[in-house]
Amino acid sequence: MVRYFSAIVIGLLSVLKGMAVTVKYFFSKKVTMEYPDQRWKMPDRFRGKVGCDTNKCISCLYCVNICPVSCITLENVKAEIPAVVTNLEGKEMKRLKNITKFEVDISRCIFCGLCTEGCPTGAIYMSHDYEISCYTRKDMVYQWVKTKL
Amino acid sequence: MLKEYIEAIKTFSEQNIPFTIKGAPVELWYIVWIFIFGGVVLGGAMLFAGLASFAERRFAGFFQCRLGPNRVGPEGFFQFIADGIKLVLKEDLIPAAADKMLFRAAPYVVFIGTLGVFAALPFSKSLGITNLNLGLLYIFAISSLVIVGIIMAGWGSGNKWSLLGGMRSAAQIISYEIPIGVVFLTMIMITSTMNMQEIVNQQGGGLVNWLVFRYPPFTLFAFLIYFIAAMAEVNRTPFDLPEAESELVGGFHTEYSGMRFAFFFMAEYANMFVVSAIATVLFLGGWQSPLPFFILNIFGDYSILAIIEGFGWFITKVLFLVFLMMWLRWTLPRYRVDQLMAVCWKVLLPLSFANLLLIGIWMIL
Ligand code: SF4
Ligand code: SF4
Repeated sequence: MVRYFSAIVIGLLSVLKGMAVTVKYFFSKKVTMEYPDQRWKMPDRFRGKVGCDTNKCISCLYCVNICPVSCITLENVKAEIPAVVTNLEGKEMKRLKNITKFEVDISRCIFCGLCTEGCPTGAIYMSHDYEISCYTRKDMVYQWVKTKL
Repeated sequence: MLKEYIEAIKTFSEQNIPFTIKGAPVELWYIVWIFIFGGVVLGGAMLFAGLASFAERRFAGFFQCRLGPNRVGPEGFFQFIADGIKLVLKEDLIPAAADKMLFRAAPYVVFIGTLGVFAALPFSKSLGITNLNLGLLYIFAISSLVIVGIIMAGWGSGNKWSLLGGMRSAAQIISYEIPIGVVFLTMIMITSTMNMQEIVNQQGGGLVNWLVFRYPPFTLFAFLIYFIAAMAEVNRTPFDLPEAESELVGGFHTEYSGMRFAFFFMAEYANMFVVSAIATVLFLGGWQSPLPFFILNIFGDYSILAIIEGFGWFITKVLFLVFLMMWLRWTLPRYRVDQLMAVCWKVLLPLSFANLLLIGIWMIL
């Protein structure tokens, strides 16, 4: 008999406790991020779409060779007048070749970041852009040099 | 036989119809009024169901630390209209194995069972569709139609999950109707009337005269028993076994789509309104103000203002109870079938009988 009534009382009290918890959340600040209107601020080392500043690139082919999935394509021609580029340590380097094609196939990229780690001039970098969906496979191939020299 | 029937309708309509056009036969007006009231009730119930479904989704979000639907219209207010349009435009599928007639008829039976109750609810002082002498009994009787509809849906779908859902709901609703019946009996005993308006009239004069506080704490227990049993009656979580998604897919409405599904959906929300309204009338003073007087009547006795304010109080109380149901839904997990039956037969039923006896003894003393 005592157990019967104490079970009822405990049951009702636990319902009240549960209701207290839920009502706390009812008035708390909501965690929803309304995506297209609000966006997350990505951390500094977030690895998004690969980006490239082709003016800095000295066409050393380091990134092409290191890429585990070979998704970077780079073609170049010998330059008549070599351009001067500053590398990461501040030293000047000569660019002996002109780039005619610099493509990154994002559909194959695994966002490992290896290409950016060894680049002597910091030309290739991981951007914070994560909105990389598109309609065709061709759109996934980003061409950083479009003009033919 | 027919003549007597027409005669009875004529006398009834002469007494009950607010006004007619001179010269028009009173029977014709009777039919017109039936349609007008029917339309008002149907529109009101549908509007409430739509708004409640929106509120439910929004509140569900709030309770879970989310925002809920907030895109259509200001704060997502028109979401229910978008939902309604979607449901109307959807294809109405009938499974090949279904019992077509039962399948088609079931949603309407459920909806009629819910809608019929509105006829006897006292919305405000002398504002109601009818004022039945046996209002409480009528409500108790007609709301049982819902089970019939649900079983029809479960059987007619020709699907084992639906059938299981239908059977569960039959077992559940019939079981929980007994504590509700006993609580009704208690309240009839206290008020010695079944007329809903009369019950509300007896609770006038402020908060302390509400029936919840009439025989403390027994009427409060009666209120709790009624509220728990009523939640089981309308298949709300934690008693939503007939449509337990994780066990029965969708229970009795698994096979329904489009407008027929919408009918079940609206019936559920209208049903929430109905049971909350009955709880309000029986325990929380119906349309009576919690103050000893109507606020709008401070500077004189305007009956029309009193009616409006009474309606406001009634709706406020009902909405509070509906909110309480939503709150409980997002707090408690679902019962197991045996636990559900144990709660009804081992807890609610004996307690409601004990309550009846104790209140009876108190009334004699
Ligand atoms: S590693 Fe840097 S500098 Fe070398 S080819 Fe790649 S982008 Fe250009
Ligand atoms: S991030 Fe990795 S996979 Fe992507 S381009 Fe750079 S090296 Fe290749």
